[in-house]
Formats: sequence, structure tokens, C-alpha cells
Amino acid sequence: MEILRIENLRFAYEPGQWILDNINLRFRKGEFVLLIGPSGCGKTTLLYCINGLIPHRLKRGIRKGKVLLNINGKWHDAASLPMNVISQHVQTVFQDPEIQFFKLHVIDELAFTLENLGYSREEIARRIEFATKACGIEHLLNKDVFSLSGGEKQRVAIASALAVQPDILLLDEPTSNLDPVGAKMVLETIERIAKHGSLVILVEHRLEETSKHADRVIVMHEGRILVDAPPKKVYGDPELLQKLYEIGIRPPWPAELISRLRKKRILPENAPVPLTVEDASNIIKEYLKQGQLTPIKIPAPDIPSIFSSADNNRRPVIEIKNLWYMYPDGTVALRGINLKIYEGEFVGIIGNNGSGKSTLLLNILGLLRPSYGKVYVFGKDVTKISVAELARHVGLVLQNPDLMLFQPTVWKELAFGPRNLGLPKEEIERRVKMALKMMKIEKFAQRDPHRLSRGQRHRVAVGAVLSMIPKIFIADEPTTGQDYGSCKDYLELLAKLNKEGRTIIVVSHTLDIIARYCSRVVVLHRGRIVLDGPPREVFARADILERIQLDIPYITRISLLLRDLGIPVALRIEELESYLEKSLVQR
Amino acid sequence: MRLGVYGLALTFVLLVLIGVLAWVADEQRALPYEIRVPHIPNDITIYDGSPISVRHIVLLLLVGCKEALKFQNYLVILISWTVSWFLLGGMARKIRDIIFGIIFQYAVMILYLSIVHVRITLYIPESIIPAFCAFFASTGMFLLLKKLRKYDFFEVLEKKLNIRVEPGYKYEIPVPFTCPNCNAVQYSNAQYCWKCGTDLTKFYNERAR
Repeated sequence: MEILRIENLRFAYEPGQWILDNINLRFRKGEFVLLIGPSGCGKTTLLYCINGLIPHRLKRGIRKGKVLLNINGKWHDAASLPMNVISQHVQTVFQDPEIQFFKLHVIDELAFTLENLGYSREEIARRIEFATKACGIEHLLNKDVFSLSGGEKQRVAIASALAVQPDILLLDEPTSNLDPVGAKMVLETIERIAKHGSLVILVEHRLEETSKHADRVIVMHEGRILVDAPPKKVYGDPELLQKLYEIGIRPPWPAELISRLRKKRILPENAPVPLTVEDASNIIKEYLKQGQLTPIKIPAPDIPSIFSSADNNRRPVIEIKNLWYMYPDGTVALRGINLKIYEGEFVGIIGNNGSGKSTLLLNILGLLRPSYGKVYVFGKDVTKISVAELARHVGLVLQNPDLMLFQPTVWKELAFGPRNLGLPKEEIERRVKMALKMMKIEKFAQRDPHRLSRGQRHRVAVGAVLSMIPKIFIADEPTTGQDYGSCKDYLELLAKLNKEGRTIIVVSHTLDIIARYCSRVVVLHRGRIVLDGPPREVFARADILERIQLDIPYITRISLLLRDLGIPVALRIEELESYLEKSLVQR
Repeated sequence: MRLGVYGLALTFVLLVLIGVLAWVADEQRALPYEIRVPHIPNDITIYDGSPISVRHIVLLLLVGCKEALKFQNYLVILISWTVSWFLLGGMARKIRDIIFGIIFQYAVMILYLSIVHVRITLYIPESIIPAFCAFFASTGMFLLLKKLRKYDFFEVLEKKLNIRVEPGYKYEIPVPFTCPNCNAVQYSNAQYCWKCGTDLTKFYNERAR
């Protein structure tokens, strides 16, 4: 049964700049739809049109066309229905669950909407039981919402929406702020909800975890629908794949690997499209078994020389000596860290939420004072110099760019730092232009940064740090809320800065990024360093990483499953492709 | 900035304390001690032996005489205090920074009062000296205990928070070092060797011994 129709929908925030352009879509009950597209393509705006925020709350802008909801067998235009009616049939879960919380305790939060809709006590209790079971949060009912982990908060937000038992559930990047463990928790919950019969429309960048569950993938670009098809068709058709690459969307790694092997004729053109790591390795092994491929063992690449010999003449830019940090509530976040980071390194710091990554960064920047131990940056104790002085040499881009933006225009935002350094006007202008160009945000120079999309705001925040030309650049979760194309551009930029001699430190949950760009990976778990070495070796320690519930990059996972074919551990798809090309010879 | 706010609050507390102690003292006796602030061309009398009252305490806080209670002077004194802490507050990292901040803000205030040609003379009642000794002794003890407490950090973890700390994590492990099993270079005290996967905790504990 059709539940939602979008007919000729167009929307512009400013006259002449259509964010949505001639959208025509139809949705059925019980579908699980994955909505993807590059940053700024209109995904969130489309969700706002479906849930009635446009035009009922966001009154500015020009809206044309119709969003029709099927309520009790009759079609209604969302623009003419009051919000309290829409919210009984359409519920939304946003990226940041905290902005949706009204109450202090989980059970009160779940009951809030139902109380406002006038349900009886018995009905409220029944619906809460349904929602908590579906989301697996029975054990959290009496807890304070703000004491929960990121994954738990997001599940509470989903349960709160689900308690209304909506016909349509919209989720706008619900896992972007979560670590892999939290994301997995949330996505499993969403899959269960779709099976219950609601239409689920999920906006996500994590395609590997979501594509395998989706019935349909809708790709948007510049406000238009580019593709609307089942996942295997979208990722399996070479022409559609090419369109995805052109707009900066990377298909799930398993699908991309097989697609590349098909293009190189290592696998036949009709080889099936896998959506999981196991499927990809099984397809390769199947062709091997059928006798179409013959394996040849190839040697593993050498370990980088910096890890082969201790060079005592190298200058550490960051030196940490037996660092312990305890928060005022007694939480011990760092437990005896000894670490040296050298000039010119590209270091990735990984670990689950609560492992101490952010606390470590804050100690390096002098924003937190060690409870015990010392931190030195360029040989100076960070507790003896001011944060302002440190900021001349160390730049930090936060996970949430909104915490860094406060100027009325992008230009002023980028000029703020150099101006505070007391630089001459010409130098400020040169640096701002350089940063605008590097981040590809020249066209936004005179715009209010708060009116840009999240991914664009992130680029402004990075530009603001780049204009300071720091010697050490620290990026906290640089891929949050970014599409693949933007992530790649950003990391390529960091790699370029690294080649110029700058030290780069990246904290990320996106292990593929870490594997591709970093020369060193530091794994944190419960405040301690568990592993610290070249990425290839670190990610090969799958047993240790599994013990601390940390995943490994998808490509590395596939290569480990193909180990018995003599394939070495691979970090990048190009490596694995090359190994398979060399080692699998067509008969 | 938080330490700066504490400094501002501490200034008020200190001066109220001095005022209260002066009130407790026998204010009717003559005051034999007098300190002249050098190199200041003008001076004011803060305490001239009159009975201590709220008015005198306020004057003491403002380091001024009656002229200080005029609105424009009061406003400028407040501005000078606020400006001083805005200048210093962000840099205050330790107690000595706060002490310097308090001295600095009074220097700014005295400078202002000198410019408006107010006489400054600092008097200290005789009976306040034991109070000052007690104050400095207790402050010194507090700072010493704070310094000593640093070395009991692990005691706090073990006895109060029930967190067992292995000896290898109580001391600095000089990096880089090589894995005792495979000689791979380690640039941090990671729990496992990146190359051979050996658990290095035993190595750290032995090194700590």
C-alpha cells in the first residue's frame, strides 16, 4: 500500500536557488529506503518537507508541488495538515538526539509525546513497552537521558519516535556521531523497526552497514533524483556506479571491489554484486573453486623504515610522559600514557567512545591539566604556556563545527585567527584566499556560515584553522556528516599538508580513512594505548582488536578472509585489487 | 577564565578578612606601623585609627578615601578591577598567577588614584601581625599539602576509587624502546607489540621495579 507520494516538489530557501528541483517519488508501507547524496544536495530539506517542518515551522522559502500522506486511506497534502496531525503519522530522528530530549529520565521522554497526544495511561504503557522492546532499551528506562552513551541516546530518540507508532519514520544521519559499536546498535534497531511495517527513510553516509538491509536506494544530486533502484542494481550497474563516482559517492567497499575486478576482467561481467565482506570473499573463492582463477602467493610489502629502527635524532613535537587524567566525578579517562609523536608524522588515533581520545587531545592542547604526568609540545610543558600561545602552532578542528563558528561571514571567520596573530592586512587576505581555495568554499565567502549545510560548515571550520598555518594540525572526527567526496578532498588536503612537513593527528571512527592516509595508528582502549604501529600491522592484529570491540577496515577484512589464497593484508582497495590481479591468473 | 574569576573572588575575601581582623583589633590604640608606598607622588589615608565600620571597610576595599565613593570614581575603580582580570584571567594557571593578579589590579587602582591626586598611606594595626602570620602559615601549609598530594595520586586511585594500578603504569617509560621479543621499535607504551603481538605489560612492570 502506498503511504507517501511526492509530486513535482520544488523548494528554495532563497529565490532562484532551488534546493529541491522537481522531486517525484512514491513510497510503500514497510519499505526501508536509503537516501544518499553529497553534502548540500537537499536530503535534509526533503525530510523537512515530508515531516511538515517546511512549511509549518520554516516559513521562509518558496515551496511548490505536493507532499501527500495517506492517512486512513485518504490522501492529504502535508502543507495543509496541522503539525499535531502530521506528527502522529510521521516521526523524525535527527543527527543529534539531545536536541530532541525534553525530559530528564528515559521513561518520561518516551511518554512525553504520547501524553501530549492525549493517550490513556494504559495505552502509553503499552506503546512504551513496544518501543523499548523494539529498540532494546528496557534496562535504560530509569536512567538520566544525559548520562547515556551516544548509541544509547540515539536508541532512546528512536524509541521515543517509535512509541507514537508512526506510519513513516525519518532518520537523518542517526549514526554520524557514533562509534562503530554504537552505530551497529542503532542500525540493527532500525532494521527491526522496518520489519514492523513502518516506512523507514534513512539518510546515511555509512553505506556498508545500511545497504544490505535497504529495499531501495535513492541517490540525490543538486536537488534532483539521480537514481532510485534496489541496492544491487545501483551498485552493480557500471553506468550507475560511474554516476555515483562523479558526484562523490563511493559504493560499499565489497561492491566496489567486485566492480573493479569485473572492469579488469579478473572476474566476469556477470559476477554478482556483494553487499557484505563475506559475500565478496565468497564470490572470489567461488570463481577459484570453479577453476576459473589460479592463486599465486605474493610477498607482503615492507614495513616503513621509521618502525624498523629507532632514530634518536628525530625531534618529537609532542611528548607525553606517564599521563593520567581523572575528571572531577572520579572517571579516570587516561591511565599512564607514554607517547612520542614526531615531526612530519600522520597519526591516526582510534578507539571506541569512552576510550580517552578526546581527553588526550584536550591534554595536548592544554585545555585540560594532567592529573599526573607531563605533556610537552615543541619541548614546552603545556601547563606553563597559555592556550593562546599553543594555538599559534597547534590547530584543532572539532567534530561539531558549530562550536567553532561565530562570525557573520565565512571571510571574517577565516580572517579571525590571523588577525589575532597581529598579521598585516595583506598577509591576512592572502591566507584567507588560500584557505578558501583549499577548502573549495570561495563562493561562500560573504555568506553566513550558519546558513550552510553541515558538511559546508565543517569545511569553513577547517579553513579557519588552515588560515593560521599551524605546524600541528589535529582533526577530531573529520568525516562526521560528510559524504565520501568531501571526506576524500579533506583527507587529500591533510595528506598534502603532511607532505609539506606538517604533523597531522586525526581522531576518527572511519577506519578506511585511517588505513588509507595514516603512517601510524594509535589504538586506545579504556585510557591506555593498546597498539601503536604501522596501520597494516595494527589492523592485521584482528584478534586483539576484536577483544576490545574495535572493527577493522572493510578492505582489510576482505583481505584477511582471502589469506588462505596467499593474499597479504591490504589497507586500500587499490592494493587489494593489485594483489588479486597479480595473484589470480585467469586460465 | 575560571581561575580569573576565582582570583576576583579571592581578592574580595582577602580584603573583607583584613577589614574584619582590623575590626577585632583594638582600633582605639595608636598605630605605630606605617608603610609608605614608594615612588607614588600622592597618597591617601586608608585607616587613621577611627572605629572600624562598614564604611571604612568599603573604603579599604576601594583603596581610597571619600572621593572614591563618588560615582565616577567608583565606576572607574570597578572598571580597573574588571580590566585587570580580563587581562590576566585567561593566563591564570596557578595560585601565583592569582596573587600576581591581585597585586596588579591594586597597582592599576593606585595608579588611577594617583592620577586624580589622592593621597595614599597604608597603615597596619599592631594586632593584625599575628593574624597575617597565621594567614601566611595556613596558606603555606595548604600549598605544601597540595604539592605533597601530587605524589599520592596513585594512593587516591587505589584507596578511594578502588582502581588497581600496575607498577608499570606508575612511572614514565622512556620511548622509543624495542620489543624484548622481536626488537620492533615502540614509540609508546602500547600494551601489545604491533609486530609480534607480545603483551608488553610484564616488561613495563619489570622496568618499573
